[in-house]
Amino acid sequence: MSEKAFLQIKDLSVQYTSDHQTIHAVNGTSLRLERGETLGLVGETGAGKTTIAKTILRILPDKAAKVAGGEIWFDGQELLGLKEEEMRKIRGNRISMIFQDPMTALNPTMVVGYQIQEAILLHNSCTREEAKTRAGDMLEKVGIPRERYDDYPHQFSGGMKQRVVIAMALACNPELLLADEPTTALDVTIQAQVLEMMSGLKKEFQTAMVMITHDLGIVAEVCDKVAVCYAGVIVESGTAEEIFDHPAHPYTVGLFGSLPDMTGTRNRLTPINGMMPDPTELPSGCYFAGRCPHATAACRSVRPEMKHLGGTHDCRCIVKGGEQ
Amino acid sequence: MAKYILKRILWMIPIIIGVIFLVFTLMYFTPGDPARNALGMTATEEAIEAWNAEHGLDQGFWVRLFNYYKGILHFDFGTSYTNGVSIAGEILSRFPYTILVGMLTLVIAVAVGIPTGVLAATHQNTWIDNLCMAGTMFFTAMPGFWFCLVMVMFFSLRLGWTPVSGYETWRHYIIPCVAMGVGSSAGIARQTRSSMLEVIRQDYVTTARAKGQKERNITYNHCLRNGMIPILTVIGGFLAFLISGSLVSEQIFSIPGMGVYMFKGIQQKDVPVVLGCTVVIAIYFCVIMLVTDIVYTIVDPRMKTAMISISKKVRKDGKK
Repeated sequence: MSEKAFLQIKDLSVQYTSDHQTIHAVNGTSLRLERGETLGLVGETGAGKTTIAKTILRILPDKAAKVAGGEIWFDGQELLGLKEEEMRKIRGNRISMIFQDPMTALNPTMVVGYQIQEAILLHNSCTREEAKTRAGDMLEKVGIPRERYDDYPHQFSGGMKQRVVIAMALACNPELLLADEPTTALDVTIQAQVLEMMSGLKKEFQTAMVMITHDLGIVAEVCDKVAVCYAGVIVESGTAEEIFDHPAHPYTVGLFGSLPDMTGTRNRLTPINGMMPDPTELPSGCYFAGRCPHATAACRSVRPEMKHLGGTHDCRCIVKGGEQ
Repeated sequence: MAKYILKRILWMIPIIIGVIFLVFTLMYFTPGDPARNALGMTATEEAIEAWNAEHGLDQGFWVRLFNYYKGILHFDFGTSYTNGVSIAGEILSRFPYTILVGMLTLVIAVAVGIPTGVLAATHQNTWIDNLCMAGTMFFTAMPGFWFCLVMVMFFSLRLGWTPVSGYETWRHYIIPCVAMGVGSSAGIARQTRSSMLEVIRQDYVTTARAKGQKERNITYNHCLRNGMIPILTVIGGFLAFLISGSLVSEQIFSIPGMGVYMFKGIQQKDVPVVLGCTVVIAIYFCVIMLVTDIVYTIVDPRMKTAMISISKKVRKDGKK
C-alpha cells in the first residue's frame, strides 16, 4: 500500500486501564481514506469504533487510555507523534468530530452561537465580530435561524442540538470529519433530515468523513467505503458495493442476517448468537470464533491475517475468505 | 425575572416579622433582670421600678412586642439598657467594619480556594492533589482563632510587619483578613475540587477539546462555570455566617464590629441590642440568599428557566 492515502491508520492498538485490568479496546486496526470519501465504520457497541475516532483526534482520557502501538498518518503527518500544541491546531480545524449524544455534547452554560464561534476564533485570524457573523452563517447553513445565536442549549430540541453540534464541527471547513453515530440519539424522521443535511454540507465543503454507526441503512445511504469492526479489529473492508453485495466475513454476513428484510418472506430475524469476547481476556485465535457458525479448530488457535479478495475488498477470515 | 426578585423581596417582610417575634419571645422568657444589671445590686426597689417604667418594661408582653414592631417601622431599634446609646446609630457605625472585614476575607478565601480546588481536580490522584487536600484538611481542622494568633505572633510580634490590633489603617486588616480568609478557603477548595471532578468527565468538555480549545480555557471557561453552582452555595453560606462568625477576629484584633457588639449585648442581657442585631442579621441573611439565587441564574441559564417556572406554578396553584 502506498503512503499517499489522505488518512491512513496502521496497526493501531489502544488499551484502557481500569482497576488494574487492561481492556484491549482497539487491537491492530488499519484503515485508509482518500480526500472527499466517506468511510462507514460499522460494528456493534463496544467494538472500539469511538475509541478509534477519539484516538485520531487524540482526545482520549489522559490517564485511563494508552495508545499501545501503531501510526496515524493524516495528509503526510504522523498524528500520534505530534506535539500537543500542533495537535491542537489540527483539532476542530482540519479534523473535527460530531459526537454521539447531542444532549450532552453542548456546554449548558454557554449560548450556542458562542460555542460555534469558539472554534472559528481559535483557528482563524479574524475579529470577534467576523467570527460571530461566520457562526451565524453556519447556524443558517444547518437550518437554524441566525436569531437563535444567543439561545442556550436547553432551549433547543434534540434534533436542533445535533444541528448545532454539526455546525460546530463544520465551522472551520475541516478536511476530515469524524461522525460518531451522529443520528443514533435522534428519532427516525429527524435522522433522515440530519443525514441529508450532512451529505449536502459534505459535498459543499469536499470533506472526507468517517461515519461511525451500527446502522447498515445509513451506511448504504451515505458511504463509499465500509470497514466492519469487531472487538477492535477490522474484519472486513471494501467499497459499499463489495460489502453489501458480497459480504465475505461470517460476522458481516451475520450483521446482514440480523436486518429485517422488507421484500422477502422471512418472518424472524437471525441474530448473531453469543456476545463479543471479554476485552480484558481476548481469545488467542480469531476473536469471532466463539460465535462463528463456520469456526474450525484452526480458527480457535491462529489469528487470521487480512486476505485480499479482489478490488479493494479485504477480509480477515481463514475459512470464508476467498470463496464467495 | 424582575417579578421573581420583587416577590422574593416581599417575602422578606413576613420572615423578618417572624424572626423578631421568635427572638423577642426568647429574650422575654430568659431569666435575669435588666434593671438590676443596669443599676447594680444596691439599687432600691423604687429606682428599679422607675427604670422599668422608663424603658417600658412594666407593660405586658404583647404591648411591648407591638411597640417594638412600631419602632422598627421608623428604623428605631431603641436604646441600649447599659449605656443609653441609640442602637440604630451604633449598628450603623459598626456594620461597615464587619462588612469590610467580611468582604476582604471572602475575596481572599475565593482567590485561594477556587484555584486550589481546580489545581487539585486537574491533577487528581497526583502529589499535587494530595498536597492541596492535606492543606485544606489542616485548615478545616484548625480553629480560626488559632491561625489568627499564630500569624500575629509571627508577622506582628517577631517580624513587626503589621500592627497587632486595631482598625485605623489598611495594614491593620491584613492579618485578620488573610488569617480568616485562608482558613475559610479550605471549604471552598474542597467543594471546587469535587464539583470540578464531576464536570471534567462530561461530554461537552471533550467537545471543547475536540474544537482545539486550550486546556486552560477548557478548565476555567467550560468546566468551572458548570461546576460553579455548588461552589456558590458554599460561598453564600460562608457570607451568611460572616456576621455572626466575625466575633472571633473582631475580639482578637479589637475591631469594633457587629459580632463583638451582639456578644456583649447577650452577656449583659441588653435585650434591645440583641434584638436590633438579630433583625439586621436576618435582613442581611435574606439579601445574601436572594443575591446567591440571582447569581445562580447568571452562572447557569437553566436555573433562570427553572426559577421563573416555579414562581409561575406557585401562582397557578394559588389561584385554584
